[in-house]
Amino acid sequence: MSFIQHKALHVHPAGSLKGTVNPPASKSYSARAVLAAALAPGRSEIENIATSQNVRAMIDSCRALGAGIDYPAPDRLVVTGSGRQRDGVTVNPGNSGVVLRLLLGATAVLRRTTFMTPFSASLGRRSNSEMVDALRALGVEVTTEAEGRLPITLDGTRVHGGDVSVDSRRSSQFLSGLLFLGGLLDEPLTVRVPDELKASAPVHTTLDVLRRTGVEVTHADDFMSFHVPAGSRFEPARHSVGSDPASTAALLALASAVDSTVDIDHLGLEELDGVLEYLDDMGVSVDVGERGVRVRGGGDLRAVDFDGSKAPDAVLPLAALAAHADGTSRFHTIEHIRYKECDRISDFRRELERAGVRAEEKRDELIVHGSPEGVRGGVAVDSHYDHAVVMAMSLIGLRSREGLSVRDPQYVAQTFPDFFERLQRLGGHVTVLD
Amino acid sequence: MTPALIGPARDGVSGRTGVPHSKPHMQRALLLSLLANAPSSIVNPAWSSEAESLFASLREFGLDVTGQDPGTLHLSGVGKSVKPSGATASVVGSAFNFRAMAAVACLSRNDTVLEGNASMLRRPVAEYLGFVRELGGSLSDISDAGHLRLRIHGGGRLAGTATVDTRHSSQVLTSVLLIAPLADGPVRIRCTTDDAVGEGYIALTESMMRRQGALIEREGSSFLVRPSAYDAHVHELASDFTALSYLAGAVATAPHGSVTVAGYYPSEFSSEREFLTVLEQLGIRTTYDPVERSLRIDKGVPAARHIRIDGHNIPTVVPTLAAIAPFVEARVTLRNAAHVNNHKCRRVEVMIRELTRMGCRIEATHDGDGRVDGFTTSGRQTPAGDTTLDSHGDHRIFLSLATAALGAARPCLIDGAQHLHASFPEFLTSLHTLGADIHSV
Repeated sequence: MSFIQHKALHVHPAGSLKGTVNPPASKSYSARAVLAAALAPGRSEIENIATSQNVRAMIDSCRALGAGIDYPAPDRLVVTGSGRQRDGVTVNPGNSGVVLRLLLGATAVLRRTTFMTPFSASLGRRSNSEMVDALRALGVEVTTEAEGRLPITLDGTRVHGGDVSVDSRRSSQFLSGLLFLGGLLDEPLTVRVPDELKASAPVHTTLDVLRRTGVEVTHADDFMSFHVPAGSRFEPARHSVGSDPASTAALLALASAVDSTVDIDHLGLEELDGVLEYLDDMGVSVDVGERGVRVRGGGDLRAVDFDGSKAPDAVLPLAALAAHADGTSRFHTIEHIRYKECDRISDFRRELERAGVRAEEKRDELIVHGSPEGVRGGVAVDSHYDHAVVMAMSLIGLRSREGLSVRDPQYVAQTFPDFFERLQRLGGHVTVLD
Repeated sequence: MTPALIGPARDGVSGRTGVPHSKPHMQRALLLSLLANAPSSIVNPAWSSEAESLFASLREFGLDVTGQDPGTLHLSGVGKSVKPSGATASVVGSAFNFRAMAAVACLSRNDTVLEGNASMLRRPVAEYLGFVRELGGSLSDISDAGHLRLRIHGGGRLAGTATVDTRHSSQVLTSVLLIAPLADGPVRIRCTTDDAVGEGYIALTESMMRRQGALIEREGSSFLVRPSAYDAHVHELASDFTALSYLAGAVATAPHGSVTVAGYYPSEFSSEREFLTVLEQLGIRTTYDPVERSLRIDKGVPAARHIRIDGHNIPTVVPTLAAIAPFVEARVTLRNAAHVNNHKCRRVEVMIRELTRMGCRIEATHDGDGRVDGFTTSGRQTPAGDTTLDSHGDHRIFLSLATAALGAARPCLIDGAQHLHASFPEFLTSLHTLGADIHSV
């Protein structure tokens, strides 16, 4: 049974969850590592490569651009970069903002690369104007729809280095894409952040991957300016991918929500600053080991506020968990999550309310009024093309009295393709609705 | 009958034009768009009556149109949640469509009645659908005198081994392959022949499936497809290389020529690569610019004094090559194409007969069983023309004869222009744009 082949699933109330679960590999790191490897002439290896659809979109894009890609084992990728990517390619980034923005940078040296997505109602609606402006300032000819929406065509015949600013309030992905471009230019590139960087954790991941592949980026302590020296070149490297932050956060929250003893054997908690502390503050029993976290869930939950800028991928699962706390929780400094697969404040709030959770929103904040008894359920909610919404609403269903139906649950595969199978193995109950 | 008068292209052919996009790619892209539980986009959709019929059938099973930009169709599929909207799904007169929809119906948990018109009763359709039962479903024939009507139930657990007769067609194999990743367990497919007809089409199906995430292993004539799911995809439809062959033919038969085909998307068809290699040998050079997406066709000199061509894997362009051969500055022999006589008409024989009527010296060749399997010519000629040619209701014969007529001394009247809609509706306009003297009569 593969749940992602179906249009609707029902997540039944869970009596208890028990067992051990491994989160999938990080799509954030995997996507960057695949691209860096494709840009390096020669053979690179990536251990524990993610199997998520977003990473597959990056792999397929790099293959279309000329990289050789093989799987000697299901979780091991060998990438053979050609040294020069192909001109005139059409790239499909799937529904992934990070795949799109990284590739917009990495292909800005080529002649005519066209980006198209079949997700016209999701990624196709997201603005890339910050990236388009920065690329134009660097001499790239960009043809695009209003606000830099897809489809986009780049011609990098006249690209050059220099000093460029990129607005990073809505996303740090533009900055990351430009840093990849810096590694391909003959001239030095300085990228400045004129306002504020809302989510710095993914930029650390970018810098880590670039450093491993020979592109040394220097930066100011406050992360407001970055410099890539002239003549930087990507070199083959070995990468080992840690656990996916969004999936790990979802598993931590799920195990915390219902009566459970779940061991989460992760490979690092990158991009999840403050999450374990948050769970501890809520009253969840969390035992941290060297390679794992044991969560004993099902107890009373205290309402606690959370600074979403520290771990943006954790906001939705933690907000779903907060729906079962005794009191009101505020998730603040999160405006940038409005610009993801969906508007993760407004769209998610609507689905919470549809499920019976009281919630409010401000421009930069999601306010959840918790209720320890959970919702009645028995209704259908929508995924909005977003893996984070699927996992968070599944949590609401597990803790509800009648369960929740999730329409278009297949988009969980952007990050965690076998999420529902693993949930079943822990004792959850999921059925297909056709 | 709609005849066209094609005059000699004494001033050569030159300029920019386009060709239609590939029908086999379109059919597969539509089917995959339903079977993907995700959105898909089809760039350069290739509409034909058959594609429109398939599209209508797929809509009945849940394929949704989410948008339409110039040149791009946005669709949303249902994966395994296929559900016919009515009690009976109509599949208008196409054997491919009927076979494909029978395979799709296997995925439904409900009974599906597929209904085809009377012409389907005369085609070998029902007898090739044994795979339904082999994979755990049920099939009953409830046809009447006016309709082919089959009731299909997919069964509880779709999996197992299916044997597919590939002696005469690859369509059933393509249909079973396409649904196999959505089965509940591994699906093995055994072909009845090692050398399946339409290998190029099978390879195309495999390639498009793999690109969307299907897990297929192939060993000789057997396939193993493991459960997986199709990803969202942007289908950039390839250009129809058989349509391209007529423009290459125009360059070859006219005294001189240089044609640029704009918006050209090469396919992964091995037949296309093989055809372009044959053209090169015949002295017709093609240069592809991936940035401009254009293919330039120029006339050069043949690679040898005697060009030998194997027609086995390039059946659709054999009539074009027959039209080109009398205008090449070399001896040309094409063999191993007896199967091309099994199409809409006996294409090799008809081309030899009509070219001879035009004034060309072209001889039939025969295989060991005495069947016409090709042709041979002996250097560049200038046939007299000034005659009426019969396309036998076959669009490929019309297109090939029109190509040859550009090299004749006097105009030729060719019947059958009304059949051009089947593959290259704008062909005569294209030729006119390139400087040819064309008159509809």
